[in-house]
Amino acid sequence: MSVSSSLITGSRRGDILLLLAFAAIIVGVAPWLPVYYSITAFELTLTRIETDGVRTQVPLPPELDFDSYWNRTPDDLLPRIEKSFRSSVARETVAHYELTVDYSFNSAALDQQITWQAP
Amino acid sequence: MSPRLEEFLFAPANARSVAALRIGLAAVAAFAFYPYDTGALATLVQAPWLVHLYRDVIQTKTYWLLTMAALAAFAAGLWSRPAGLLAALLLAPYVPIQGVMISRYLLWFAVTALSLLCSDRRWALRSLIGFPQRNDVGPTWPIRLIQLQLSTLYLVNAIAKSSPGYLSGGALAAMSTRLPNFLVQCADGLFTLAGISIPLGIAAAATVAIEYCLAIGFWFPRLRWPTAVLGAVFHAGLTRLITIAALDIASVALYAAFLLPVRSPRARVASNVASR
Repeated sequence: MSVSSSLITGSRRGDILLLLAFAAIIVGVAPWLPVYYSITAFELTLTRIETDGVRTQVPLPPELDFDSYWNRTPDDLLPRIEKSFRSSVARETVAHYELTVDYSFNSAALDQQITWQAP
Repeated sequence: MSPRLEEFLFAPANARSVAALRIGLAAVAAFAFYPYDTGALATLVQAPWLVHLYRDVIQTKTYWLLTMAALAAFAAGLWSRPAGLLAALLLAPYVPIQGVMISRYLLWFAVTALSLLCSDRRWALRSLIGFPQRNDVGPTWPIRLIQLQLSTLYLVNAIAKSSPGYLSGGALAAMSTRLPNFLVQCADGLFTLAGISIPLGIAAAATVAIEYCLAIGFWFPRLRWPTAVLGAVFHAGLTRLITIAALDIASVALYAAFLLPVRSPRARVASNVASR
């Protein structure tokens, strides 16, 4: 005895296609569903370096006003920070700036460091 | 298609369960999609014209009231298929709002799938005003999709957290000190809940194990209720640890798709006869 009931689209083929379309949404969205599974913790320090070598720690400009965490890996984060840093100091003609990023992936230790100078 | 898969997907759906899901999910969606006028678009979709569209049309009171009217009609069983599809269409732009994306996506998906079924014939205003109550609401596969979506949520979270960095507890320690929505500080390597201190590595491993259980357990009939209890306790515990918008409520609300009978009694009788 068949247990099939009325269909949604009026045809079995149409129902299966619709079902597959919804299943494709489930599969397509799946990579965006994980939450709170990784974190890159970081802190930024900006230093102004005068032509005579005097170094002064300065406040971060708005372009570098990031939250102190990133939900993905440092490989995703660091290029964004570097790009923002270089654009924020691009117009400076006298001094240099140095940005230090202390960071750690899936740890609160901040035990890794990278430094850029610009312009 | 094998007879078992045929029955799994195309057996007649249980009209009462569909009606209960329709009403319950509409109520939870109304809660989860409020407030309508806060939150920024996800980074992926921040084109200037879209930002204007959201500010001037979608995140306005008029649009939201229209959406709630469609959702209310869906819940009340007033032409639930067109009302549900309209509600899903109107709710869709609210999904890619940062901070609430996943809970809203889950509910949007469930409302959309459920609106494919003709559930306006039971526990519905239409039946109260004289339309006959009928049992043939459609096949079970839209409910199977809701079940699959819930299991996928838990499974991909469990897989993503099955990394050395997470299982060591380091990720939880960093999150507790950095994320503004964490309610406890675990920088000392201990997670304290209800007066009991647990090493973060054990807490992290337990979280992952529970998510695997929640992804798989619902598919075994005997384990459904224990899995639901485990999930409810898990999400209740999470609310003490972290504020994650409506994701806890949305997830637990979808347990109903597993706990309510999916197939109609008519289908179960026919299936039993067929198997003799």
